[in-house]
Amino acid sequence: MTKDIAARSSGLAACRAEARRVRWREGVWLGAILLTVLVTFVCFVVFVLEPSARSSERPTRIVSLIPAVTEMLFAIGAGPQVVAVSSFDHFPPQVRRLPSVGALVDPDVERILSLRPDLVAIYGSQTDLRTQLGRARIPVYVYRHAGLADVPATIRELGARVGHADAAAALARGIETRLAAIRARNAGRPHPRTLIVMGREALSLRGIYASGGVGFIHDMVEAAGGTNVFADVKKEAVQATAELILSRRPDVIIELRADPLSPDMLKREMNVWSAWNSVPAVKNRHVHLIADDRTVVPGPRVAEGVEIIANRLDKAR
Amino acid sequence: MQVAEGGLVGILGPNGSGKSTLLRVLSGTVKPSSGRVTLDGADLARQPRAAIARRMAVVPQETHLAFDYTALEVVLMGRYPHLAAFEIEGPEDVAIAREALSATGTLEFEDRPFETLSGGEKQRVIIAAALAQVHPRALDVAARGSQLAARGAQVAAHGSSAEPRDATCDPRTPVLLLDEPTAALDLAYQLEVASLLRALQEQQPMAIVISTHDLNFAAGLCRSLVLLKEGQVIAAGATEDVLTPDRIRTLYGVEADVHRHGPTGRLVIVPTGRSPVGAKP
Amino acid sequence: MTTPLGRRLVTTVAIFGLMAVGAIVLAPLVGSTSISLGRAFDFHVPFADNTDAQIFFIARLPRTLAGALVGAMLASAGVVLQGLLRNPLATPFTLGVSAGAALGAMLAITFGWSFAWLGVPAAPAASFIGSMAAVGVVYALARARHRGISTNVLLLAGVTMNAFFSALILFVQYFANFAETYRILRWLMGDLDISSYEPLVTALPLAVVSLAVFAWLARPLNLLSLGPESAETHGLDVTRAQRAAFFSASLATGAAVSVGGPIGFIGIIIPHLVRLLVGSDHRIVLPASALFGAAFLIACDLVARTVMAPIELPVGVITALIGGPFFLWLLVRKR
Repeated sequence: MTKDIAARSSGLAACRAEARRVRWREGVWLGAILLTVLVTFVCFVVFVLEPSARSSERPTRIVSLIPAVTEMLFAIGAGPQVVAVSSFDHFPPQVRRLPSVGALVDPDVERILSLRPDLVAIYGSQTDLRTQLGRARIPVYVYRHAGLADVPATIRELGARVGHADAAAALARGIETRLAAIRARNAGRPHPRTLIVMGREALSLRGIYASGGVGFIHDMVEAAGGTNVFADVKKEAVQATAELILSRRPDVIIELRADPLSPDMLKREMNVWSAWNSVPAVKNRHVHLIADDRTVVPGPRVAEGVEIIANRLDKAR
Repeated sequence: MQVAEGGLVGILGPNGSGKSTLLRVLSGTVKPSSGRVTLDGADLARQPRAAIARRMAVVPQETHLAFDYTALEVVLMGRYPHLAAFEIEGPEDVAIAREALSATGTLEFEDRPFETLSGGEKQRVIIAAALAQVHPRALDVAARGSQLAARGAQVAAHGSSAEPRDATCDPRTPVLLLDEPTAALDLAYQLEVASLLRALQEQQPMAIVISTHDLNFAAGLCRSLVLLKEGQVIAAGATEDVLTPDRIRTLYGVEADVHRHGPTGRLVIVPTGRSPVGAKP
Repeated sequence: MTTPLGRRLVTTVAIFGLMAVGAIVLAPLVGSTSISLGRAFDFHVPFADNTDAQIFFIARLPRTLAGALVGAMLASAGVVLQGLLRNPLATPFTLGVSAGAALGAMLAITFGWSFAWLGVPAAPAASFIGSMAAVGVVYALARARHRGISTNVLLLAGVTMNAFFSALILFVQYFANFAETYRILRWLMGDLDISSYEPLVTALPLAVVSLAVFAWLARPLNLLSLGPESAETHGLDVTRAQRAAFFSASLATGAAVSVGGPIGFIGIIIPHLVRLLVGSDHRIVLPASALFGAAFLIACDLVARTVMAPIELPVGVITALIGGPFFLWLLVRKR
């Protein structure tokens, strides 16, 4: 662009007008380029930079659909970051004040989205929910329910994810140490044959649903120093019939319940077993009803749960 | 109130005239809204169902069984009103059933499943069942032999000559009600059933009431007729008195000639055309 | 052929009776674990120490007797309902009984009811009450417009009840956790492992009453197959017979379901098989079905508890695996 500085006596005004037009044209071009750059920059930030930026920082609005995960979050100090929990959560007590968004079969997607979370902990089987959250660009933590050994591993993973890696590592280490101590204590001692009942009909011995040789409850009892009578059944749950239980002759029966019973009901429920008095556990009065959710939740208190079970098993050695 | 006497009475009328309903009223299935039906002079509504069933049997237009019964089993069902609650049919009952089957010419089918029979055969088996139903037991016959209660039923206008068994007041005269017995049958079977009914009537005293819309069937078979139109009785009496071209016009809106067939002596009706609208009934 | 019926009845009852007694005697001898019968019957050993005896008398024998009771009830209730509805495809569950029972049991399991009603634990008691409630509603609906019972309205009311209760069941399902859902599913598939004689003792009076009414109903059911009007002109009090059939069949079904859960196909396979073998006279079909039903269910339960030992299949799965193809064959071959 050359500036025409030759001023002609008669064309000065025209010349100035011409100059103005040129400046105007240049301005437009400049403006267009600037605008394009700006838009590109904004898009880049919003669609590329932002999400990863969000996930690299600690999440401050966490929704947890898994009670065990909720407990873990609170135990590693991420409690203040939790904004909503599942409908089955009740520990620690703070969660009762938080809104609930459903659970495994009935997650309330609308509610979850309305809370504008930046991390949602979901079950591995909740594939639909995962898709929906993906479309809304909400990061998820996929929880897989597995064995006892996976509890510390899960704690560590969560710790890294929510910005409490150190606390998580400490907690996990603590659990592992405690479990190792219990195992060591029972190393040379007999391991009583144990029937672990996870559910049955009230006041009756029908519909007994016991732990098989796979899964976290089986692991807990084995860690506590017992031998699962159904260790050979490679399933998490066994429908135990009378014949099966009578023929396996467990030395100890442990019934795990999530809700506590009144002392009267407790006595009645334990008496129900006296119909099968050829079972050593019944004959020797080694039937224990444990109504403590530390024994059924694969969360940070799992070592305490194993301790409780180990104490009961001790009585039967 | 309609009561039929020992003999062959036809209830004749077009579809929808109330023939089946009238038959149902006679059998006691439907209660009349006014008036009453009597059997042997006793009010039908007052008598226990089993007692009525021992005297009166109904042959419906069609019988469809829900399950596979043999013909003999179907006929044996007719013995129900004669048996006590847990009583099983005895040899006498079986004999009565087989007798009824042979009376209707269907004894050969006694072990065949009912549903495998033809339409005509089925109707005849059902008639046999009805006969078995109203057949008294030997004990009952002896016990009632001395009773001389009033005879079965009377018609408003008596048929004059043709009541050969009218003489004795026999309280055991069974009553047979047939609802359109030939409506679903081929011509051959219609004739079969007609001749069967005639033969039955000759063999034993019986009161038979047939409802039909078939003019010639009624004319050929029944000795007296009750003409029904739209729920009203428009005429009753001996067939030849009642079945006139005027009455036929009223009933069916059809012009017809009424002749007597030479060889058989039966009335024959030949429709000739539709009546003009507004013709005087 | 003097009294063909009398002789046939005696012969049939003898044959099927032998089958049933044989099943009751032989089934407890077989199981997923091997036991020593000698030791089981050694009465010198105290019962509390005798595992073999406990397996025989606590695990296997009550189960066999339950199979006999439930099988007999469901099979004969099936016969009666087929006679009432004049339809060979009717089952004891057609008129809503099992849906009511399922809802009752589900509520008891889901909400952890632990009352015992007249000595009967919560789930069976609730299931019985639920089934009777459903029956009451269906009857009220069927009577709404007629002085008698219209079997068509009965059928429609039953189907409606089934649908409605199924919806309620799905609704209750949402309140159940994993363990409860698992137990509910197992209940729905049938479970004869009663492991004590109490359920039999409580169900026995209901069974006796129903069977007595069935015996009276045998001949009326024959007549009903002619159609209600024909039956009436044969001298039958049709309304009374229909009412007796409906209530006795529902009572038998409700009692059977409260003992073993809603075990399907017994109520339809057995009546059909029996009719193929002995004809359609209900006076023979009813006792034969009851006896054959008992033997058949005991056999199915035997298969269920031994074929995949130590894991046990639900008995309803076995009856369905046999019954499904049989039912299809029936539908295909008729007309």
